[in-house]
Amino acid sequence: MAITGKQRATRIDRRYTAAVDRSIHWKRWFGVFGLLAGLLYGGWVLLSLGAQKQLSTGDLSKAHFAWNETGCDECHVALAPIRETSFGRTESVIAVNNEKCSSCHRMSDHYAERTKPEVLKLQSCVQCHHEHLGFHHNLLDIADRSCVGCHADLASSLKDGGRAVANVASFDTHPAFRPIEQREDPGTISFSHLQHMLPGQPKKEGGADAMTWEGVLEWSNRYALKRPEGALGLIQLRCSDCHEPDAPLAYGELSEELMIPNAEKLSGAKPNGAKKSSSSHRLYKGVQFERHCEVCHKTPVPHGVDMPRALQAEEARVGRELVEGSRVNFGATEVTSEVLREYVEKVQANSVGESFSDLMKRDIEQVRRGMFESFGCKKCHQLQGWDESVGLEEKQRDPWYREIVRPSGIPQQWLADASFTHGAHMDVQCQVCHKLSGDSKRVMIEGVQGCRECHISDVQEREFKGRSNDHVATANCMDCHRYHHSPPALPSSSVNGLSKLVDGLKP
Amino acid sequence: MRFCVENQRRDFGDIAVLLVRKMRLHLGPLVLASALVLLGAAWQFWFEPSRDDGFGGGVTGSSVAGLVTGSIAAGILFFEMLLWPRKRLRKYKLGRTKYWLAYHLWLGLACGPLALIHSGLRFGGQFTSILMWLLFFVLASGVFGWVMQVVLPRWMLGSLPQETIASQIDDVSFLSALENRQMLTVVLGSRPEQVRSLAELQEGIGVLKRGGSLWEGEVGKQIIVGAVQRRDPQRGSLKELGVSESTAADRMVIWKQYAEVIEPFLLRGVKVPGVVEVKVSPLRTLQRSKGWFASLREACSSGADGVIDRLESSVTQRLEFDAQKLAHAWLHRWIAFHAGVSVMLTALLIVHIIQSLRYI
Repeated sequence: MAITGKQRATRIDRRYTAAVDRSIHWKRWFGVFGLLAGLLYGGWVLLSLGAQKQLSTGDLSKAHFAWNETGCDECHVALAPIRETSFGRTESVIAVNNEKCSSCHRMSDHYAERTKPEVLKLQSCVQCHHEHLGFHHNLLDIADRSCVGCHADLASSLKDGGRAVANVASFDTHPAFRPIEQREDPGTISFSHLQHMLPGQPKKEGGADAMTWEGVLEWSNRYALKRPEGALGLIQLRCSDCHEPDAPLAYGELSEELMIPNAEKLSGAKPNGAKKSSSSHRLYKGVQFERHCEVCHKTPVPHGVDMPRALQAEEARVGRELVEGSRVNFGATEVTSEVLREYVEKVQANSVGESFSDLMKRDIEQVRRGMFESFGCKKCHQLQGWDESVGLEEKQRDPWYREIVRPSGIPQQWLADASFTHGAHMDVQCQVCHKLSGDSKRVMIEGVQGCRECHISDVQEREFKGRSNDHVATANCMDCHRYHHSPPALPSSSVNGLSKLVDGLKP
Repeated sequence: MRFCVENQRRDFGDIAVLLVRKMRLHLGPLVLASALVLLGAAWQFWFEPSRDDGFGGGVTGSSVAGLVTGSIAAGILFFEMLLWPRKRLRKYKLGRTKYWLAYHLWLGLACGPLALIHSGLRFGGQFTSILMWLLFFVLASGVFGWVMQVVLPRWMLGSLPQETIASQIDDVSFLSALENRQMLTVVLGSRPEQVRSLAELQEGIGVLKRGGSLWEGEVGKQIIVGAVQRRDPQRGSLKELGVSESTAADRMVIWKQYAEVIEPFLLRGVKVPGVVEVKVSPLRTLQRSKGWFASLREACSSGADGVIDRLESSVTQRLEFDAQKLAHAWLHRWIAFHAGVSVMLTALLIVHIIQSLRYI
């Protein structure tokens, strides 16, 4: 039976609007719950230091990990946006943020003498060092983009905008290594690597002057070269007989004799056990005559005589002899200056020539040359000669002027603007990068093209080449370079420790 | 929900027509929301200088574009929340509701993409991730509610002809039970002794517990209501029902079935816990109730068909009421979640603004 609308209307309580619907109850309760939950959680985040981790976009790296628990103010400054892409990053804001880092890390500016100050002021620490990427993130993993941003158009960042500079957008456009590709070896030692790597080290291959194990008269523990047990015949040197790493090799790294036999080929399987270096070995120690050469090359005089010190010692000896002589000759119990002067005049009146020290002090070329030639120095060394235009006073200011031979001038680190490390290349044989040469003026290091054999910047190309070459590696700027880097003041170091003497003689 | 499948199909067509008609209303906010999203995305992802070097670079919420899009999204969120005070202050006539809702809907939808643009498509730390998920819950619940409020009223209009005010469903059902008792008393004679009274029934099932009910104090009394009262229900009903003659057996069967099955169902709907032996009423669906009434007709003489038809009509009405209750719940319950999460989101958004300015 149908019911009319009017009939339906009579069934409705007219006060129905006063009735509270259950959904309205729920809405109110949910609203109150939402407000309370929001206020509690928000208040906790706002007011509790321990809760500030909630705001972190990720764990801090190992170096700063403890600050995960101590709040954001350790690095962040209120109302000073720190991100590179943030709004309102003025020079002052960047300086405020950098100051936070500098309170612990005192780092030098990047080539401050050459770079425009306004460019340096816009460089912030976080621009390159990214945080909040987890405990294991390496803060030194810096993208090429951080460098290329300026180096792709370097002229705009340089104080001397007109200076000829090479712009680098990637390793593919990296210029040649100037110290090794565009210059001669600055070393003064005459040495043929080619000859020394021949069996017996003869002047010519198969020559009669070849050295044999049994021909060596004396073996000493101080020599790096050791005679293998029962070794007879021609001596075969290895690179490691003269070039010793500056830090011990890590366990599992290969010493030279275990390396792959065919060094000319980059491709091919790695030798068993070869792996990436984990040692701190970066460079090789300088070659020392007493440790690496003397076993074969004996000298009539002690090698590496420190002439300035020898002369000082000579002067002291002469002084002592004069004092003793005046006491003996004049029977004086106390040697006064008058007594000493009188004795010196007597000695000078009786002398027939000049002392060695006097001769050296007068810089007599013949004396130097005589010693240089008679003591066999010239086999390897060059005579310390002087330009005629240089005056005596000027010579005497220079600590080298009394030396017979010129400093060896062999750089310990050839690429001063890079941080090449041998430790990372221990699974590659020496001759891959160091081609043997008999010309001592030629730098035996492959140029940038040699590096590109393995170091490839393009990811796809790297993957492709990696199929045939196990040594393929990245070509990131930070693989070799460091931003916080100052070029070395001294370009070279001597093998006989004279650089220390130079440092000591500096005013 | 099992009513009128044909009508339902027709409803979806009507909804499309309705949407087209409402384009004029929605066009403004739709264009505004789309423009905000497109311009924000273009600015943030194309024109903002990016340094995505694989180490967490790229555009973020602290870039100029990120800040602007984030501010717009926050502004929209606060605007969305204004719907609440606006409802409280409706006596001040702060714009028409349909415009408020249209802007609430489209700008609210733009809020999600704008927040993602603001963050550079990242969720960030725990706090911002929670914030983002809350926003998505709000958006999802809002979209769900929007769909419900478009679809269900149309469906109810076509499929629930006996729809009443949702809060009055129990009252109207109670009235229906009273009328049926009245009708049975007139047609079949007073209830047998073994059939419990309405008061006893009410006591047993605890109906009408809601406050403010007109009928609360009148349970068990002899009342005459509405049209039946005006039309002299005894004589009018008899004539209308076409009852010729009923037997004593009919009287027992119908009263018994009415008191044990039909009336509990009318008063409580589908679920009748504790009243009948079975936990679920045999009348719980239209199909089952038809079968059940067919059995009842077979058990009674043909003279009782009119009474049974009337009872079946009441049951059908109650079934529609149950469907309406369910639809009503789908229509309104989401608002509780939507509002609660929105309030929480707004509170946390204020914290986010404060902390972002401190630790960008």
